[in-house]
Amino acid sequence: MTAVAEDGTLTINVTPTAAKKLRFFAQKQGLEDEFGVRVGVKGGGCSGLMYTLSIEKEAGDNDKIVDNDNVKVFIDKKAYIFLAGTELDFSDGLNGKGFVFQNPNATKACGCGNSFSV
Amino acid sequence: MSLQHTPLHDMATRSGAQFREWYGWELPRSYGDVESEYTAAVGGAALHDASYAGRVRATGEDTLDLLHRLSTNVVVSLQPGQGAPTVLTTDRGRILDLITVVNLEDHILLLTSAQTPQAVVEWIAKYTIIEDVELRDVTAETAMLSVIGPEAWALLRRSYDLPDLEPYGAAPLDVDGVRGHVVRRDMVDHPRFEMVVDAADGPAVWRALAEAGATPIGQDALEVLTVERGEPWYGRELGEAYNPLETGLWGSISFTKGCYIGQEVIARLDTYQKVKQHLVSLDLSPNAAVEQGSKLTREGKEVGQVTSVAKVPTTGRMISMAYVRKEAAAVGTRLDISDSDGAWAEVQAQALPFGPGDQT
Repeated sequence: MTAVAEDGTLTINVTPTAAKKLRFFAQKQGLEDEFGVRVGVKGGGCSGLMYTLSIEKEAGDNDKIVDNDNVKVFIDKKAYIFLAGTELDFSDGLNGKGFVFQNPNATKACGCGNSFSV
Repeated sequence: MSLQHTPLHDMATRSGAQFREWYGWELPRSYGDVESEYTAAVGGAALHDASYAGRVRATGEDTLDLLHRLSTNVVVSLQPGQGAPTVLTTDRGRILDLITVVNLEDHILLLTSAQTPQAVVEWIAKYTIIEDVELRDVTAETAMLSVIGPEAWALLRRSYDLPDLEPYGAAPLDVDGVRGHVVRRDMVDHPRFEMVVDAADGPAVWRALAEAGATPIGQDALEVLTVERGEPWYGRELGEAYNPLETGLWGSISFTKGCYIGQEVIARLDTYQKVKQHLVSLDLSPNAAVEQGSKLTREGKEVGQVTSVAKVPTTGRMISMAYVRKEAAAVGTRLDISDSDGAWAEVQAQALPFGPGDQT
């Protein structure tokens, strides 16, 4: 599904399941309260573009910050055009894929879902 | 559109070279006698103006990392002085170009095909999102001279102070005010060294190498050599019509490095042995009337297409490269040639693995 903010603009959404996992990893990094998840895009992967994900203490100068109900999301402005409307979910279990990006901009994705093209 | 000229064009004109057109360039076809040019390249040391081939200068700390994610071979770990061939592939696993990536310490040099430097720059730029990578097509501002043959290295060592070079390795040149690099880029298994210098220095380096004993050779002799050695060239054997496994570029592909654009398709072709055709070398009957694009048949059924043809000047032997369907590509298979009655082609070898192999 496409993540849309209250004012109708596209945003980035983090599901409660993904937020819980992110908090778990933040805690492991010693970041209890103040942290955000940096979502990015870099060239490569089977389909041309691949997602990057990391936990950061604070946003960078070029970051757009999306305040989510659950967790703060930092996105480099250059990556935002590829990600607007994306929902970040977490697929648990033995055959789970870990963090999963539901990106409405992606026209194609590779089998593992980590790479996409627009 | 007017034809392009290399920085050595005026010198070649004065020396009496004969010219021919080649993909938008006017290049020397021969400096006099193709047979002696070919003989020098096979048994001695030959000198070829390869300035028409593409050169791209890449800077920025993410360059090797990005190229690693965009192409088939392991390039992220290349140390200064090291290089590797790698294939830029589309997301369908088709060949954009076979390039050589060389770490020259203060920048990364990409050697591309003659027709592709701009396409390579645009392709990499398209996937540069947040990475620190700057690309510049330096083909016009540099010259590239190939020294080819079994005596090539000894000749270079007599003229320049050079360390031993591993395949695709590079060393700086700094002689009499001329600065540049030499890159070892063998033609499959035949020695070749590329001298990359400023365009203005090209003629002086050429003269020095010719005086040291290297024989100038033009496009005609070079083409025979590439077909004979099975070196795939863009516009003939390389392009988006083919995937790198069909072309036999096994030595330029890592199957363990992880994802790159097109990796999923290439891994599947390999795992399930779905490669449908192979690039092969062919011997042709003396009466064969063959050109690029000629169809090959077996028992009346089309099984392949010729990509290049050459006549060995010393023996008159006709040789060729072709893509042939898997079931007809075994060494020793006799094929017929469409529109050339009574002529035959025989598969001599499948393309040699190009490059030094998986470096992981």
